[in-house]
Amino acid sequence: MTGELRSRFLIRVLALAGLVALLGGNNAARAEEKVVLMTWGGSWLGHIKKNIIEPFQQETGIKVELRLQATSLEALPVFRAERDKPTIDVWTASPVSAIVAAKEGLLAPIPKDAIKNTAYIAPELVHPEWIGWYRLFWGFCYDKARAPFELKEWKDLWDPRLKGSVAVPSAVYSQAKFITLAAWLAGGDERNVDPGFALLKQLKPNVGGFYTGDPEGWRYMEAGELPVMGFCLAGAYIPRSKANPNFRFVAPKPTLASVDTFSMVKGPNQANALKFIDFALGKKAEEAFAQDAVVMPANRTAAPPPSIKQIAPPEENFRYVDEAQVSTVINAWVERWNREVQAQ
Amino acid sequence: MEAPSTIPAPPATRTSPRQVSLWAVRARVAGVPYLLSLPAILLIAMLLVSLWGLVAMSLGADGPSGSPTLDNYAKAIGDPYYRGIFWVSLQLAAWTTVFCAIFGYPVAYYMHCATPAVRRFILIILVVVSFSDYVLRMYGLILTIGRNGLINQVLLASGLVGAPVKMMYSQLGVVIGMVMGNIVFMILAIGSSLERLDNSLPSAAALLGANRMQTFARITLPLSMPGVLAGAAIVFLLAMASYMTPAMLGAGFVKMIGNLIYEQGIAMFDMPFAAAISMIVLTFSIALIALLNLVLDRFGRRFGAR
Repeated sequence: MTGELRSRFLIRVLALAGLVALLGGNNAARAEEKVVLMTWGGSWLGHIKKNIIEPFQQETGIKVELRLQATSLEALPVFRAERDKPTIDVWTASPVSAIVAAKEGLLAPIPKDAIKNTAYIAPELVHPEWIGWYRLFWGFCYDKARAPFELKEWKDLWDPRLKGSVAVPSAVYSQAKFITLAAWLAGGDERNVDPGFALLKQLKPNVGGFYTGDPEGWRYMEAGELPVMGFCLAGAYIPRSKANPNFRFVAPKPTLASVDTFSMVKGPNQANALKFIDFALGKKAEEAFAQDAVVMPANRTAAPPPSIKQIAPPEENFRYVDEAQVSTVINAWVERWNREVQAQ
Repeated sequence: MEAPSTIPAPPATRTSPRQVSLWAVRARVAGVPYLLSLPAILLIAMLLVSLWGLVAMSLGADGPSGSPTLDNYAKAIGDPYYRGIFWVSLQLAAWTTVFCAIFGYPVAYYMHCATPAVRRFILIILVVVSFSDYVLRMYGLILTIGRNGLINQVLLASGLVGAPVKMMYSQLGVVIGMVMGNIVFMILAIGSSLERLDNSLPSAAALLGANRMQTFARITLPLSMPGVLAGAAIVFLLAMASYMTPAMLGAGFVKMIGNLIYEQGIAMFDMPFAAAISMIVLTFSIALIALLNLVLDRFGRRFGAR
């Protein structure tokens, strides 16, 4: 090889070696200082970043790397694909998604002793595979200017005066919570859902449209298509009521309540994952996040935002869904809903 | 006089270290097409691997039991509920195709007869529309044909109707949406076919006494059929697998195959069943394209395909 060729060759080898060293070194450094969080995107991500991620990074120096999901169920194929080499450490999810993932062995058990803030979380919200992060409750919403009467109870949704006027969530909305509610209203429960389906079939004449997510449901109301949204999150109502003062939110008894959760996936940064979860469940982070996201904190020492307190019913009206039971039957419920309630 | 029969042989030894041997040059030249094809080969390989994964998943071969089964296919084809969804999807796709052809052909024909400047202008509009966000276009349609949309407001204000006309949240609304979303493909396919017509044929027909209607019916339309068929195939396949339009304009009352696949795969996490439905749709699509090719080949002369 000539001198010139040899020089070119050496330069290329050195450049390549430098690049490998740079990437390898950085990767090695990053693995010790990070935690990988899979969570929801959109405006929710903004609340998480501002009130949890950025303060956590500032306080601990541990970098939070994000992976996004539209729904928590969508994360399951990712965890499956990464089963042999998981990369995600912390996951925010609905309890049903967490239970399904845990059954497949995709989650790591959460050592409660390592998270001191679990002492301030209600025991029913602390499970081996998930811990409640914040609480949600549902009611219904209606446009006072266009509804034919003032709605006060769940049974008002079945009133014949609302024929073709009610937007109703489909079975896949929030893990079939509307079906659970119908079961409760009809005297059944998560283990006896037949009365609920009988009641839902009676609602069919009043259904003006179905929705699979809150934005879709609100579109019916905001576009003036339908005056009633039969099942909506309290937190989603508050910002919209500011845009339209005619919107009303009612959370009759029984008020269906649930949580969103933290789970630990089997990623390589377990110690940092525990620190992150403990930080997020702390009083300060809980209050700040609840204020922005308009939810109720799971930490009992954290105060709920004033906007939620105004519309929240007494907590004794709250009835939490048996998520473990629902996770075993949800697919069957969806199939039944498709054939008996939403059939075209 | 004989021509030189051989190319002068290369020197037996290199004359300098910088001289590259002839075999290396030949190797490089021969290898260039393969090198240039490498991205395409990689893409095809990835598609085939993904397709194989889909097939395996649909047979349940990647599940806990690991052994292939046709249960998912039997469920998709044997259950009247799922057959109903397939049937509705085929019906709505067929109507969409028909309306795209009815409304798209005049536009394509006008473009064919227009001046180049007008043709370019219309083409730019079509391309800009087709590149705009599909979801935004559907939202625009909601604002137009919704209960409080523009059309109903005009109808109510004019007194032609006493109550809003229901155009949305039904199969009609979904078809309207799919026509709006896919008509551009029909127009471009027909336009492409019209561009290839021999322009002397209409003149010859006129010389032989045919009027404009006869010329169109017996010359232009038959010769443009390849474009119509190609556009129909594209529109039909796109419409049949549509997800967003029935989701937004159907209000849950209209469920098509795309919605079913999403529901089964993502919401219910029954990936094998969703994969089986996908394979059925893919097989149908391939069969449709094969049929189209057969029709075009067999009747190419009749329709003027080149």
